[in-house]
Amino acid sequence: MKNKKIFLSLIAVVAVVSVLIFAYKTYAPAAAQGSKNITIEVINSAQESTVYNVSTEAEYLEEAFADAEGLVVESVEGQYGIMMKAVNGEEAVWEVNNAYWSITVNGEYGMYGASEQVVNDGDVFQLVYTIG
Amino acid sequence: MTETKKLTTRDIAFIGMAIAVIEVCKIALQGVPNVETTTFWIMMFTLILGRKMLFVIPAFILIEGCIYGFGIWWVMYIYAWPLLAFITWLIRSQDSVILYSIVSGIFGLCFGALCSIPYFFIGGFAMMFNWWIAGIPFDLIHGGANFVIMLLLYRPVRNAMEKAGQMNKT
Repeated sequence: MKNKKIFLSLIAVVAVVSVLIFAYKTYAPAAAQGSKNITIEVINSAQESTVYNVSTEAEYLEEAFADAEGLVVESVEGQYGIMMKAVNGEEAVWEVNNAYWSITVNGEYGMYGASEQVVNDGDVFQLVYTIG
Repeated sequence: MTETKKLTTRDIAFIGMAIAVIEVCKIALQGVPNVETTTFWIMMFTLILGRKMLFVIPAFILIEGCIYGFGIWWVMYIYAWPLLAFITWLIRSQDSVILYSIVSGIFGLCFGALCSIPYFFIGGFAMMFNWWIAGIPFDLIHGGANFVIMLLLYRPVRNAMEKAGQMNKT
């Protein structure tokens, strides 16, 4: 009886892992190779906008930061990949005022961190100082 | 610790200690991505405290909100941790390290799916689904870490608690 319960539980683990891997492989956006032209807009705490038109071969946004002349992004490793700590010298500190740097992708709230966010030709990214 | 309805002074002290242990371990492991002992402790304390866990979890959730702010992530805590305690309470008669490790692992694997629910009310199904998909690599690590932590710590911690006379043997 006990072994049966454990066996069924193990099957449940395998099933859940399989569903997760299948869903990720099927629905997660794949990185695109080749040259792309993208726009990165930084909106700081004073709502001032700085726009960078970037030509890049980067597959992920974090790599594209290096191709944006004048853009400085400082990151730290967080629970969900890298987290942007400071952009162009302005630090967002959650512990102080619930502030963080968020990412929007083509006008939509970004679901991925900069290190996982795929870059496609024509994409418009915003790095926004946000109060949570 | 007994499962009597009456709350004793000892219970209150133990509940306070349980909250502190959960919170301190959580903060201590913040630097290790996707590895946490909150799942482990909530399961272990549910085995000890039974229904009295109802005093621990709300306090833990409230402290989390006070420390990190009452953002959308906090809404997820309101149902995710009580659900884990409830599942543990349902299987409390078992004493199998493998079973608890598997439950702990599955909870970690499903954590992203559970936490994606509030996004349905913000941005609809598409936002909820995309949020879940984005977090799957982290869920896999979370589930694996949960499994290993329970596998390694369940027996020594349970034995220590039994030795200390805390374990309910009914």
